[in-house]
Amino acid sequence: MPAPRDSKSLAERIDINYWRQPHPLRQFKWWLSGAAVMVAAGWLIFAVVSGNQRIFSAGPLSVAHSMFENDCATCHTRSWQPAVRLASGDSRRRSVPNEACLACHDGPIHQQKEIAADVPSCAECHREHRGSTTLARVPDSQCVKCHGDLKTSSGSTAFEPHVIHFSLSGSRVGDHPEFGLLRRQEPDTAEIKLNHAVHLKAEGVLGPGGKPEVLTCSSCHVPDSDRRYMQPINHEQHCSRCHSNSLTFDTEKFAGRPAPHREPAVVRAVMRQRYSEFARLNSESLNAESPPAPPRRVPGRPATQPLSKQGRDWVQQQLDQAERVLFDGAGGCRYCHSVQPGDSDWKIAPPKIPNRWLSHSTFRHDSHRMLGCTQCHERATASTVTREVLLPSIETCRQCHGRKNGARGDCVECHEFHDKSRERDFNGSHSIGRLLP
Amino acid sequence: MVATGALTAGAAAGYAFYAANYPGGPSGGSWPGLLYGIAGSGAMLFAGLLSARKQVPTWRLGRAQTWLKGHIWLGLLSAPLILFHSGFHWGGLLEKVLWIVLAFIIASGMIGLILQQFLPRFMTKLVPMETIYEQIPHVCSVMQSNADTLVASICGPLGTEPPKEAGEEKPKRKPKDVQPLEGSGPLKDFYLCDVRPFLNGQYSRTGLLSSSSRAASVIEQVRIMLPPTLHETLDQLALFCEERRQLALQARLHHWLHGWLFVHIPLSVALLVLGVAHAVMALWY
Repeated sequence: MPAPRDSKSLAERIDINYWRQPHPLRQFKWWLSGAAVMVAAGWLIFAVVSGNQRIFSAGPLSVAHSMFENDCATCHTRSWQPAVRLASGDSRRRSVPNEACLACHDGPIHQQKEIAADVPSCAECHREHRGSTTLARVPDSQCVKCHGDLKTSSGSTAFEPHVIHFSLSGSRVGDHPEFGLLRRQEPDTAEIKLNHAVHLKAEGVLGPGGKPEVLTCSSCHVPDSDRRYMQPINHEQHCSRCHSNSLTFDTEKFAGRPAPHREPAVVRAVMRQRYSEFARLNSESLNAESPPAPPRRVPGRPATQPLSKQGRDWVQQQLDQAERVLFDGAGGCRYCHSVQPGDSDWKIAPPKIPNRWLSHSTFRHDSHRMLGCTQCHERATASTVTREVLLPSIETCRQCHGRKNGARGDCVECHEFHDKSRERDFNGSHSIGRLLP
Repeated sequence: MVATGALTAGAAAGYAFYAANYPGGPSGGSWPGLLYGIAGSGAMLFAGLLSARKQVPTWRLGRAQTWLKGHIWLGLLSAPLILFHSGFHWGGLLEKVLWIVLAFIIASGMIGLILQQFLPRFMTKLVPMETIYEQIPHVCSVMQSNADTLVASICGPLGTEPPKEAGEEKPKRKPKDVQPLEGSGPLKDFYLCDVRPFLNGQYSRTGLLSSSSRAASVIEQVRIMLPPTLHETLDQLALFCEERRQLALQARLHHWLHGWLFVHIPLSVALLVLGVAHAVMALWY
C-alpha cells in the first residue's frame, strides 16, 4: 500500500530532530573555513618567524632601494605614523622622516628664497613602493603645489609665479611661459663676432690651404663626454684650422709662424722676441753698430747677445707695424674679437660665450640626436650676427613634448628640484656591512 | 540598490577630486586613502556579520532579509571603496593576495546571487515532491521501508534487512510474513534487483531507473510479466522511483544553489585574517 502524499503523511516522514544532527556539507563548510584561517594565519606567522618582511611591503621598491626590501625599519624609523596621520588629519606625518633619507642622501635645498614651511618632506615627493621607477620622477602636482602660486621668503621672484602645466599653448594663465631669455628678448652678449650664415653656406667656406670645405653644425659644436651638452667653443680646437691667417704677421720674415692665440701682452712678447732674434741674426744687414758688452750671465740661462740701440729701434719699429696688423687691422684679432687700446696695452674683450643657456633646466642633446640641428635651432643657417640668440622657442619643444602620445612634458623632464651644486662631497658615514640586507 | 549606486557614485566623485588634487597622487596611505580603506573594511565586516547573524536567528537584530540585502549591497560597495583606497595600485604580495581573495569572494558571491535568483523557481517547477534537503537520506530510507512493506505484503518475505533509519540502531518495524501471490515473482525480482537499491542506495545518474523515459520502458516490460492484479503495486513502485528521481534532482540543484558557499565563506574568513594583518602593518609603517 503506497504512502499517501497528504500533508500529514509527508510531515510524518520528517525527522523533527534533523537540525540537531551534523550535516556533512555544513560540517565541510566549517572545516574549510577553519582551514582557510589556518592557512592565512600560518602564512603570516611563518613570514614573521622567518624574518620575511617582503610580504608586508606596500609594493616593490625602486631599484636603488631594492637592497632594503626585507628591512622596513631602515627607512620606516617612526612607528604608527599612518595611524597618527589618520587621527590628526595631518598628511605630513610620515613614518619615513627626512633624517632617514638624509642618512644616505644629500637633498640640497631647492632655492635660497624658498619658504621652509612649504618645502615638502622627502617622502612626500619621492614616492616609494611603486616598482622600478626613478624616484626623482616627481609628479607635476608636487611642483605645482608651490609654482602654481609661487611665494618666496623675500616676497619677490624672478620666475613666472603661476605655472601649472607645460603642454598648453603658453597663452593662458598657468601655462609654462616662453624661456626667459627669449621672453625678455635678451641678445647674446658674447664678445665674439660670429656669422653662422657664412660658416654654414651650402657651397662651403675656404678651408686650410684655400680649399673649399662645407661645414656643418658638428664641425664646431662637439658634444661633451656625457653627450648631454656641447663643449665650449675653443679656438685651437674649433677655429684655428681655418682661421690661422688671422694670427699671421710679417710673413716675409716669419712665414708659417703665426702669433699665439693668447692675451695681447703675450702676443707682443712673442713678437718682440722673434724680431729681436731676427735682429741678432741679421745685425750686419741692418747696419747696426757694435753691440755693447754682454751683461753678466744669469745662471741657468743661455747667454744672449744684447741688441744695439739701432737694433732695438728697428725691433720697436717692426713691432709697431705688426701690432697694427694684428690688433688694429680688420683681419687680425678684430676679425673675431672686440679689441680696445688701453692705457698701456691693447685689451681684448672676454668672449663670454655661455657654456649653457638655460641654467635652470637640464637638457640632453644626445636624446635628440635623431633630429637635425636646424629642426630646433632653425635660425642658425640664416643668423649673421652674434647678438641673435639661436635657442629654440618653447613652442618648438611643445611640438613633441607634453602632447598626447608624445614625449614627456612633466616638470622633472627638464627641471631638477635639488641644487646639485650644493651636494656634499664623497666619503659618507656608512659601512658596507650596514647597507647589506 | 539605489543607495549603493548613490554611495558608489559619491565615493567615485570624491576619489576623482582626491586623485586630481592630492600631491603625489592617490595611495592607500594618504589620509583620504585611509578613509576609503576604513569605509571598505567596514562594508566588508558588515557583510561578514551575516554569518554571525545566522547563528542567532532568534535575536531581534532586524529582519533576515534586511541583513541579506545589506550583505549583498555593502559587499558589492566594498569593492570600489577598496579600489579607491588603493588608488588602483595592486600593492605588495600581501595586498595582491588580498585582491585575489576579494575577487574570488565577490565573483563567487555574484554567482551565488545569480543562482539564487532562478534556481529556487526552477526547483519548484521541476521538483514538486521537494523535501527538506537535509532530510533527503531519511526520506529515502522511509520510502524504501514503505516500499519493502508494500512488496512484502504481496511477494512474501523479502529476505532483506529492513532499512535503518538515521540515528537508530534497530529497525523500526518488521514486515509481516505473508504468502506470496501467484505470479509475483517477477515483481519481487524487479524490486530487489532494481527498485530497492535505487530508492536508498548510491544514486547514479546513469542508472536504469534514473531516467524517466528509461524507467517507464523498464516498468512496462515488467508489467507484461505480471498479472493485472499486481499492476497497481507496480505503479506505486513507479511512483516511489519518480519521487527518488526528484529528490536526486533536488539534491543536485541544492548543490548548485549552495556550492558557491564553499568558496565564498572560507575565503571571507581568510580575507578577514589577512585584512587585519594588512591593516596593522599599514598603520604601523
